[in-house]
Amino acid sequence: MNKRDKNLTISTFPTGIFLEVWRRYKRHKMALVCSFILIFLYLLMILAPWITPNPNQQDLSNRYSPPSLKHWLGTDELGRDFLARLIHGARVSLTIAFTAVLIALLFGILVGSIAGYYGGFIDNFLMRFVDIMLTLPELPLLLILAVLIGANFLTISLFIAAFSWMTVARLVRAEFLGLKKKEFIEAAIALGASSWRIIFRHLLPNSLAPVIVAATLGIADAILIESALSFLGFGVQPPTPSWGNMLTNAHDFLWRAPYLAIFPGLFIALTVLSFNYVGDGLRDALDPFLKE
Amino acid sequence: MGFYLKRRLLQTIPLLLIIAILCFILIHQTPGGPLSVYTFGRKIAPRDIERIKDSLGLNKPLYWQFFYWLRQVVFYGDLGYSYVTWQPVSKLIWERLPNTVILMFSALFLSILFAFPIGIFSALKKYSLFDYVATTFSFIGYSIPIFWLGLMAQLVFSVKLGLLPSGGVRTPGLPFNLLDRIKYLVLPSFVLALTFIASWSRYMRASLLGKLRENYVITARAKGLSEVAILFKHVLRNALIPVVTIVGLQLPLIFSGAVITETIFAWPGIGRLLFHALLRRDYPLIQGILLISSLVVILSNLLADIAYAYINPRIRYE
Repeated sequence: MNKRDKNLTISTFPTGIFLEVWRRYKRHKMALVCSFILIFLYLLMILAPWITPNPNQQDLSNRYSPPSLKHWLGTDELGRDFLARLIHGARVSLTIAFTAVLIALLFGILVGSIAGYYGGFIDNFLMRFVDIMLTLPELPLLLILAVLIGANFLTISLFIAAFSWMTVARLVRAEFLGLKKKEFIEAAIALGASSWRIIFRHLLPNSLAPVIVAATLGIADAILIESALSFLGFGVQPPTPSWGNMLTNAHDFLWRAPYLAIFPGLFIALTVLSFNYVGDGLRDALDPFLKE
Repeated sequence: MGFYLKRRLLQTIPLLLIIAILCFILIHQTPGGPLSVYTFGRKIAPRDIERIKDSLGLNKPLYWQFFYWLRQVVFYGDLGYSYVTWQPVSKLIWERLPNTVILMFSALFLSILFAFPIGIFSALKKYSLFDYVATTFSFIGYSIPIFWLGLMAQLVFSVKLGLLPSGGVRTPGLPFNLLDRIKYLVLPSFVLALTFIASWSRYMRASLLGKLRENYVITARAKGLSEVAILFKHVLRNALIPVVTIVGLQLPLIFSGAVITETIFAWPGIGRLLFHALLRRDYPLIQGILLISSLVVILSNLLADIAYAYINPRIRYE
């Protein structure tokens, strides 16, 4: 078979945007490994109620017991199974991170679309607003909001989203500005398509590649912010475990049971690292659709 | 450049006003209101609450209170009094602010000191072992939560090795001693700097790689300039422009990081002050800290702008 035929056989393969992206994604080995880590973590999270003991079951005669067959990672200061708390903590931390990113995506896309599509004064106004939001001291404001308004699942997600939609807005706006000049948009306008249709049918689907990457990296950031908030004691409130609040009292047991301080951080770091690598892999995989 | 800076300075005023108003509204809308520090968990007669409210002017309309507060801040630098200790808020903040600034700037200094050379070397030796290791480490460094890194640093250097103090700014009772101060500064500033070393070295690498492909580099090589001369005379300066922009944009993040670092290392800066003020719901103090920290962030952004203008002739000669 000569070279030409080979090319022919390949081109008869079923192709499509997803297959193409997957083919490129596979080449990023770290991203692939990290995707499997995340899938494994998700399975653990979903199965948590069946595979782990109750994370709030106290056993005061068994405080700070070292890792054993019964308690794989030992027990904490109230004799609760540490691994169970870590896995249930993953549910809390990741749910908040996902909700936050989802809200940030919706709002960012909305602002970015309006600014990019309408341009002019509206664009100027919205982008100055984005600039202002970017210069605010994020963590102090998050802490103050959490104290003044109160911290629960939804409010924490909302607060985190309030300080992370700007990247998405900027990306969507930039994409729109580039796409608006393309012929297919001109054609759509000429055919009498409504603004609504042009935005949702034509502009938005073509601007999604960088948004997907930003969203993936955004999850990583959201996990870090939530854990910091909870660590300081203003986020998820005990006894509900979250990766951050499991470290709140770490200073008390850094001498007695250092592994209790090590594992939650390792879980956070590994998860955040995985999301960062997956984002990196997606960036490479979606590259032909990313305009420089 | 004067015009450019003046415009930037003027832009900060409405920004500060908006922050102040938002904070004011939030505090007065919370359940319990600004006096929850008194009502929370204590038996206190409603009559006494009214009396305290009267004496603090809390019964006046909200806008009156705001403008009164604003007048005091602008004309007298008076941020009010802490509801817990009754010390002036401005005094409490001024005592702590230098520590925060020291921590932030030493972290900034360390970040630049490490990130730039690492990034430059990675770009020059693209796909070498060094580049590969640096890339992996920056991914890891970027993913580690700062508070956990602080705990681990304490665990290793203070608890296990006993090399460095785990918290505070200086040995109690000792007169001022630079070496002693530095010993206390090492852990917090390195912990704070790590994230930025990780991300800025990546930006530096990417920016330099982009600039190394430019035509003027080929011209310089054709002229027979040495690689070192090309790097320092032509490429580096251009490559620094986007990096400095990012450094400026991320200064608020250094401040956010300082809040966490201060809490872990018992570093008496305004981050730790805020942490305790929040725990006690000391509203005037919270409000004052928010205003001052916004000011710190805005001023450091301005500093980045000046640096930016300095290395970018297109702005300098405008």
